Amino acid sequence: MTQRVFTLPLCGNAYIPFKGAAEQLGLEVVVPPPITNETIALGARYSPEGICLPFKVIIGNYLQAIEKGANSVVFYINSQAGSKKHGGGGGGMCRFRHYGHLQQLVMSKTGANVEFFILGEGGGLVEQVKEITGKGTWEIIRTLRVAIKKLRLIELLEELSWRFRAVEKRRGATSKALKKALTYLEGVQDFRTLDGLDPESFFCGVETVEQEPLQIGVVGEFYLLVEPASNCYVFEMLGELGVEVHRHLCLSEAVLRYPPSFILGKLMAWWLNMSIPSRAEIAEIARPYLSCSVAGHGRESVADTIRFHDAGCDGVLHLLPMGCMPEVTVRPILRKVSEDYNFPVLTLSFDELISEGAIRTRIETFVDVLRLRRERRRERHALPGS
Amino acid sequence: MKIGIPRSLFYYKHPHLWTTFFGELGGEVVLSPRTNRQILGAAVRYGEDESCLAVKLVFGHIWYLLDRCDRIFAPAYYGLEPGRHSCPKFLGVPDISKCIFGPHVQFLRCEVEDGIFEPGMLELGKTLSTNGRTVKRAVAEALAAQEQYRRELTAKYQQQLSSERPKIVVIGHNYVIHDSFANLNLLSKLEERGMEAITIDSVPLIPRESFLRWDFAYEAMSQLQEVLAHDIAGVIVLSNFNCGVDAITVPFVEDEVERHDIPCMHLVLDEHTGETGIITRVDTFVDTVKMRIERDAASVHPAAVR
Repeated sequence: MTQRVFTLPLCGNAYIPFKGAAEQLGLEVVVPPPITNETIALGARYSPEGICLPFKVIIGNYLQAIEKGANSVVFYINSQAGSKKHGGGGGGMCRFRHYGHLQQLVMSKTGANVEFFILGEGGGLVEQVKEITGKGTWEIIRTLRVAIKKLRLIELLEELSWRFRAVEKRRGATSKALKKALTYLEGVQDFRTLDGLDPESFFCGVETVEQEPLQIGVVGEFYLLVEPASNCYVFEMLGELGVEVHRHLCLSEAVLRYPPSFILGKLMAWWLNMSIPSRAEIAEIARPYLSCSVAGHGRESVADTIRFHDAGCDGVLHLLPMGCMPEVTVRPILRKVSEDYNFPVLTLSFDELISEGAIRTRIETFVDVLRLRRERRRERHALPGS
Repeated sequence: MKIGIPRSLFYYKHPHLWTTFFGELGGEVVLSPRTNRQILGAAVRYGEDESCLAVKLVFGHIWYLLDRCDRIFAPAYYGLEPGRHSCPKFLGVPDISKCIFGPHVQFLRCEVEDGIFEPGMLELGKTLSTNGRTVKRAVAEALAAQEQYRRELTAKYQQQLSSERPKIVVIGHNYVIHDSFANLNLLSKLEERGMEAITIDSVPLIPRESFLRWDFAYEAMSQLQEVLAHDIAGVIVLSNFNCGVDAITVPFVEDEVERHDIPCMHLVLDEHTGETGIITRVDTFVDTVKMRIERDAASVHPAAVR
């Protein structure tokens, strides 16, 4: 039997910890080349026409990774999520749940000979990893701990980069610092070192200007939030326009809210020591507008739009792949929230044909509107007697 | 009390269940008419532009019912089969209606999970009638009516199977295949061209193992495997543009049909009402089917060629 060479779909910088973990467990990994228009076009050519953008991008990833020598695919699906109506969400009821099987069908039609390992589909996550790697439970848990910690650090770095980019003095200084930090992290495989790192220290070289940047919260479909190439790099675009961006969901938060198993959920919460609003809290905030889950992170989008408003953001950006079942469902609701709270919400929907220019024009206009609103509010407050 | 039932989505799945139920409880049932130009107009105006046509249409039907009833019935189908889910877009219908038409629109909900109707119906019945016996009877009558409908469908299916005409299986959501305005009269177009159109929902459902988590997808795949065991001349897959469920299901359906070497056509519908496009495609498809039948007949009886 030939040696298995694994690949995984790109999902922002999340490949760094998981590639590290897989190599630690003795697997050979090929990371797909960075996503370009070519990747997306390649994926769209073989995917069903009506499927959502993330699927198409992922197929493009696989095809390009196979060219680089991969012959096995690892994918993760949380089959626990959305199992019952009250917890329904996290991709349990939406198309994401079927990605594994459809990927296998689509890849078999391309003629590529790949072996699929769908983690989380049938059987426990750890048991499946054990089967693939032949390593013991303890070693897998320990490697997973490092990976999860590293993932969280990367997410914190990304969040910090959005804060710094909005006020950086020299264009590109933040991106450079982020890149350096990520390269450094790639080499660290020790939990204690990771635990002792201060993510902010990586950005101490970035010179900043004194100003209060606009604050925009970003809600919407999970993949578009974490993979910058799929959203035409709106986060960077906003940063360069002097806007501080906040994301409502990141990978670790999504997994933590809908953990693959109860024990892994508890372990993760302990390793990460981060506090996130529970499913019940989210449901409570969204209740005036949405009384039940609509799969995926639809309910989170509604609740987090309200939370961003309450936190004092200037506006919310709602990202979704064209036709996304949960996010399309909540779109009229977000419009209503925007109306009720007098709070600007811009919806951008993405498919394989979108061009960066179209997104840029709308983003620039949106930022202009927000800036005007802020100025007007300031003028009102400056008026004597007001 | 006047109870409005939109003739869309779930209605086509359980046409007699809910009308019987509310009728037995002493309510006046107002059923919206079959989709027409006016309702389609409202659907396009009020529906979300990236939704599928069916979900837009439900808002059209609700718009029609707004001033004609006291409460609008919109059940929450979490799953119509054990362990499976329904389309999540349905669940948001009451909340979205309130966003579109205002908070005064009152809805009646009935939660159905794992395909079990009784608990939800009993609960809903209690809010409408104080008499427990009436409620129980209404539930029993309603379920019996649904069972009767099911039996009629099966009888029709058996009859269609024994037909002499070439049999075409039409596969799609109930609310797509049975909404004749929205699907531009596809079924009668097939009948006019001498075909026997078997709708997928009339095929008996035999439980099978399946990875498909949606009840529709699971049922359709299972029924398709069942019906393909018979002498079928062609398969038409009917779906709405941007239907999330079909984006997953159709590739598997096509794969299955391909293995049986049967002509298969995928028609995608939206709110356009021009019939020319669909006529051309149906004509072509029917011609293909007929040519296939002739060819097969010729290969069986070489004498027939001469």
